[in-house]
Parts: sequence; structure tokens; C-alpha cells
Amino acid sequence: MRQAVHIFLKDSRQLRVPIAISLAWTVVFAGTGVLPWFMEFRNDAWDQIQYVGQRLSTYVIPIGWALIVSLAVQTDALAGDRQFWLTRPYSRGSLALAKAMFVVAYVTLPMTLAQGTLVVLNDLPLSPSLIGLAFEHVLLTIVFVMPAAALAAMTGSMAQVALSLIVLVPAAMLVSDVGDPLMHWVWGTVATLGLGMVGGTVLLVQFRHRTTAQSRLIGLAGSLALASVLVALPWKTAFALQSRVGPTRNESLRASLVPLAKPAVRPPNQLIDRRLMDRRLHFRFAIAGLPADEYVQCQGVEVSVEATDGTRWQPALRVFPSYTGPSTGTEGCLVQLQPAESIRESLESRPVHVRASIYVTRLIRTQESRIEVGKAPKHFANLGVCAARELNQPNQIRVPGETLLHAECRRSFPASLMADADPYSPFPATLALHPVRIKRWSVSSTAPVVATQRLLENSFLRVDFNAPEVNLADFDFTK
Amino acid sequence: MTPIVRTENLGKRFGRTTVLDDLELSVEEGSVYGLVGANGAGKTTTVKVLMNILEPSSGRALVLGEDSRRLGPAHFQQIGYVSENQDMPTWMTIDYFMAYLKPFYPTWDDGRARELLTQFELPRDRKLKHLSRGMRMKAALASSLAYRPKLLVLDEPFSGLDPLMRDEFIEGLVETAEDTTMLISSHDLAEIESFATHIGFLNQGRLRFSQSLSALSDRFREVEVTLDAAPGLPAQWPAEWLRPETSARVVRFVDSEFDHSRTIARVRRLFGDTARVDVTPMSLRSIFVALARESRKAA
Repeated sequence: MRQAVHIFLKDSRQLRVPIAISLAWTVVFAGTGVLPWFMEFRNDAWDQIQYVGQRLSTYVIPIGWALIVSLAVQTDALAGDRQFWLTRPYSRGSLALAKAMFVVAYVTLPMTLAQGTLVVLNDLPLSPSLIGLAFEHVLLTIVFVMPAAALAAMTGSMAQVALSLIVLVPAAMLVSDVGDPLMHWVWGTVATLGLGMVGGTVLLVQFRHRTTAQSRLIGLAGSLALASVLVALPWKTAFALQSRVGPTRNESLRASLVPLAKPAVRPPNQLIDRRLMDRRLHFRFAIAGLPADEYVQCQGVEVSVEATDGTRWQPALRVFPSYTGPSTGTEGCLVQLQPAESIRESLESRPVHVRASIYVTRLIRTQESRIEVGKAPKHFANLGVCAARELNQPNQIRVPGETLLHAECRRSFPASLMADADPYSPFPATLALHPVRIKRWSVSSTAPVVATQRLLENSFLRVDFNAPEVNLADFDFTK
Repeated sequence: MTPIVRTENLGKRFGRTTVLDDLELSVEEGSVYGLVGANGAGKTTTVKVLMNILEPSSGRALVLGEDSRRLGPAHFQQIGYVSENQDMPTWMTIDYFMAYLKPFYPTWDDGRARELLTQFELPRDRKLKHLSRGMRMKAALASSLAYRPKLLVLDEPFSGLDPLMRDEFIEGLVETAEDTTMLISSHDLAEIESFATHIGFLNQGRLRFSQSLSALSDRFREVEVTLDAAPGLPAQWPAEWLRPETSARVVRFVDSEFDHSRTIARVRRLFGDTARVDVTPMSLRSIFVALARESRKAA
């Protein structure tokens, strides 16, 4: 321990300038992160400074961490055979501990302090935020600190670190976009676990054995394997995982196939030969068995059609990642399918057997929260700390007799973005620097109260549909 | 005497290149062992394997009785290592460098450290990066002597030093390392000769010989044979007579197994009784050159 402290103090002294810059930016982040209530109604130059400060912090702070952590690892570099410490009585355990102390002292503690300060100064209670704060730091360490430390442990100079980052960061950004946004936590978890495993293994191998070639192989193979898993992770596996991990309920939902009402008279089209028209089947699967005030949000549909002559048609799984909000899925799932011309005749000749799996998120409407105008911010379940005001904006169109009211709710380290039917996450926080999320509503009201409701995920379900005799002509809009 | 450093069939390969091949080296306690050889002979690789900087590909090396692969902090507290190839923490001042290293060594002697800095005339408040190469080597040496190591390993310590600096460096070594076993890898033979007690000659990864300097000096002689007529080299030329040269009536060679009466008798047998024989002792440098040329010829 004494040796670790000794090495840590040496690193602190050597890297005092980059440490000071990193800490100064953390102060900028904390200073610009205090958000006044109903900020959008202010017309203040300070707001612009805040905005710029926060936007820049999103990039500058992680880059600063990567830089100082890489520098700290490379002050006693593990790669190479010319370092003076190799023939001095360094204990590898103390060396690793010294670098861990560096991370805690100059990354974790300052940011914890900054985020804790921001929670309090943004009128949120600190103690309920501690679990989110701790989880946030685990994520920040795995995603930003460990890869930087592992990269520095495998390279001999900062130039090599920088060169590697130029290649790795764009690749990581490309891979980070894969997956279904409604189940982002699944891909995020795989990515975080993968980064932790690859980074941790590289650091372990380098600090214990200093076999750089082996570590580079582990790093490269691990990164490629992780990217492959993220790209190839099946949607159905992710949904099944979410269904198992997410909230559960005794379900009794049923699906039925409902023909859509066709226009009574289709105007003749003189220009396009009907045989050449894009002929799609419109399947609408209605979900029954929902209690009042519950809804479903359609996430995916998988259909299989089998003709009596044995011809089988199974289009690819349709996923609806952009469908959010309560209105889109409440009446069921609509899917348009286009069978190939070669099998169309076989399918249309007589009734077919249709099987389907409908993947839905079951939503429940939370109880109404009534935020009184002009009162001090107050805590509301499922919403956070909320306040409401009557505020006028220039050029506002006003309805006589009604007042435009604005409500604002804040939460610390929420796993969701606080929108209706947020993407689900089983974790207490998501990867973000600023600890506070804000949701705002504007309502026209006659009473000095803003009433809010939210839809929360209740469960994630696969509802199976099976109909042995379906006439496809009922679902073909081109006929 | 107990060997403080010993290698057994030590081999090191980098890809397909064999750098050390079945190396058998033994450095006895209390000796000053000069490991000499041409560039690329494998001296630095040997030292790096001994210091656990590189792992051997085959065989093993024992340092202070421990396998080099298991050398840890407790062993390095008794080992000093100075190398021209070492990256120093150049941002440190000499004073901070010494203060930083002190807690790593239980036997660190502050008084001795001060003496060494004074003796080497090192500016204590200057950063290592602002020192000349020679001064930096002296700082490294001072930091390696202040804890009285049992073994001091120096890898090409004289490279790039001007003559004055070399003298000061060697003076410092000789004066301050009385109780320390030294292993010095170098191709600066004049410097090695001035204070080494044992010499090992490394060539193409193999140790060609290893013996005390006095035995080595006794073993090698330059022999000049003057004849009545222009000589021709006899068909049965002894293998231990190296670098034969002829000019006018003179034959010169290096006898690598010199024994006065035996050498004279063999000369008489090969060249006749009229030959005049002059025998000259050789410097380490001349021995090294003769051996190196012979090896190159054989290769």
C-alpha cells in the first residue's frame, strides 16, 4: 500500500498540468450544469454559455479522462523493454493499485462531487440518487476509463494511443448505433460487459505478465468479437431477454386478424397496369384481453403463411423501432407484406393457414399527478420533482378564458428519458454525464393545476396467432 | 566461489532469428565480469534475460540463486542496473529521482547517496532531461549504488561517453563498488581491461570462452617468426594459431593457447632451427579483434 501511494504521488506530480486541466473542466461542467426552472422562458446570455459548456463537456470530459488515464498508465509503461522501473523493486500489485488510485482521485471523485453538487443544486434530493450515482460511475469507468487504460497498457507511447483512438473511436461509434432503440439496454449491456471483459483481461495480463503481444491479440480479437456479437445479436433473443428480465404479469392476451375496411369504389387507374402494381397484404392483428387503461405497443411481427398445396411463405421479422407513444399500438399491430409473384397464385387460390408471433409491450397508464401552479417544487411518484407556472411567451396564441400553463419535472440518473412509454431498462442509470433529466409539458387549462399522466411498461410479451383458414383476398388492397 | 549469475543452455529467439544459443555463463561472486563481443553478438539480450526484461526461449538463467523469470522486488532490492538503452524518468530532478527511489530500497544509504552525487559532480536540482548523456549515466549509476547492491549489471555503460566522462565513470565504479559483483556488457575493451577480473567473449549468441583476465592475457600472444628466406605457410597449420600473415621473411600469428616452451618447440618444428621467434603480450582489444576476425572468417 505504501508503495502504491508513493507511485500515485509521483504520477500526480508528473501529470499535475493535465490533471489540473481535467479538474478545471469538471468545474466548468458543474458550474454550467445548474439548470434554472423553466429555463426555456428566460432570455439570458448565461443560458447560451451553459448550453455550450454542457455540450462541450460531453466530449471534453471523456477525452480528458482518456488522456490522463493513458498518461498515468504510460508513466510506468507496461509495453516495451526500456523502462527504468522494470529493474527496480516495483511490485506489480502496487503499480496496478497506484493507477487505480489515480483513477479514483482524478476521475471518479471529482465527477462524483460534480454530479452530487448538480443533483442538489437542481433541487433534487441526494440520498435517493446515490444508487444511480454509483451505477453511473461503474458505467463511466467501464466505458471510458478501462478501454483507455487497456490501450495505454498495450502501447509504448501516447502517439500510439492517439493513433489507435483515431481508428477505434469511429468504429465504436458505428457499432454503438446497432440494435433496436426500444431495447437499447440489451445492446448497451452486451457492449458494457464486453468492454469490461476485454479491457479487464488486457489489464490483468499486462499488469501480471507484461506479455504485450498476447494482450494486443486479446484486445483485437475481443473487440472484433464484441462488434460481431453486437451486430449479429438477434432481435428475438433481445426481446426474450427483456421479457424475462422486465416486469411480469399473469397474461391472457389474444390476437386476432382483422380485415381492414377497403374503399367502397376504387377509382380506375388508367396509367398503371394492375398486374404491375405493388401488391401488398395488409395484416392488422388486434390484441384483446386488455383491462381498461392498459395498452399495447407493437414492437415486432413475424408471419408465416402456408397454402393447402404445401407452399410456405415466411417473410422476415418486421420490427417497428420508431413506433413510440400510446396512440400507435393501441389498436393492434399493422404489418404490410409483399409476397413474391412466384408464390402469389398458389397462396391466393384457396384459404391459407396463417401463423404469427406478435411482440408487444404492454403499457399501463399511471395515476394522474396534479401539479399546482406557483407552488414550490414537490416530489411526485414516477415523475420526480415537479413545479408548474403560468408563463407567457411572445407571439403566443391564447384561447380566451384559458391560461397556458407549463409544468416541469426533474429526476436524477433516470434510466429512461422520461417520455411516455420510454424504452425499458432494468438499471438504475444510463450512461450520461449530467445527472438530471427534465421533462416539460405545456397545457391550456382553466384551473391552476397541470394534470399529467404517463404510460409505463407493464410487461413485454409474445402473443401467438394461429388461423387455419384465412382468405388472403380480404387483406389485399390492390383487389 | 559461488556463481551469482549462471545460465544453463540459455536460448533466446526473436521469430526465426536465434540471438542466444545454448549460452553457459557463470559470474562468480566478487568478480568484475566483462561480457564482450561485437555488435549483435547477443550481449544486451543476455543482460535483458538476466534482468527478467525478456523471457528466455529455452534454458534458464539464475540470478542471486533465483530463476530470472521469478525475479521480484526482493531481488531487485539487491540488484543495480544501468543501461544506455534505459528510458529514465527525465522529468525528475536528480534530487527527486533519488528521493523517489529511496523508499523502494531498505538498504538505501542517504550518506552514500550524497557522497555519490558529490563525487559524480551531479547538479541536484537539474532535471534529468537537461543533463548530458554522460551525466545521466552517472545519475543512473549513483541511484544504483546508493543501496549497496550485491550485483551491479551495466549494459554498454561507456557508449557515447567522452574520454573524460569514461574515466570519471570508471573511477566511480571502482571506488564505490568494492563489495559488489559486477557484470558489464561492453565492446569498449580498453575500459573493460582496466578493471575487469573476468572476461566472457560472446559471438553469434554463443560464449566462445570465459575466464579470468590474467589467464586470458597469459593464453594469448602475438608471435613473430623471422626466417632466412621467404616463407610459405606449412600445410599442417595448428588450429590455435590465429590470423597467420606472411610478409618478406616474416610470419606473424596469434597463439590462442600460448605456452612458451611448447610454442617455441612447434615453431622450430615447422620452420626450422634458424627461425627467430619474438613473442609479444596482447591487449584485450587485440585478442578481441583476432577472435572476432577468426569467427567472421569461419562464418
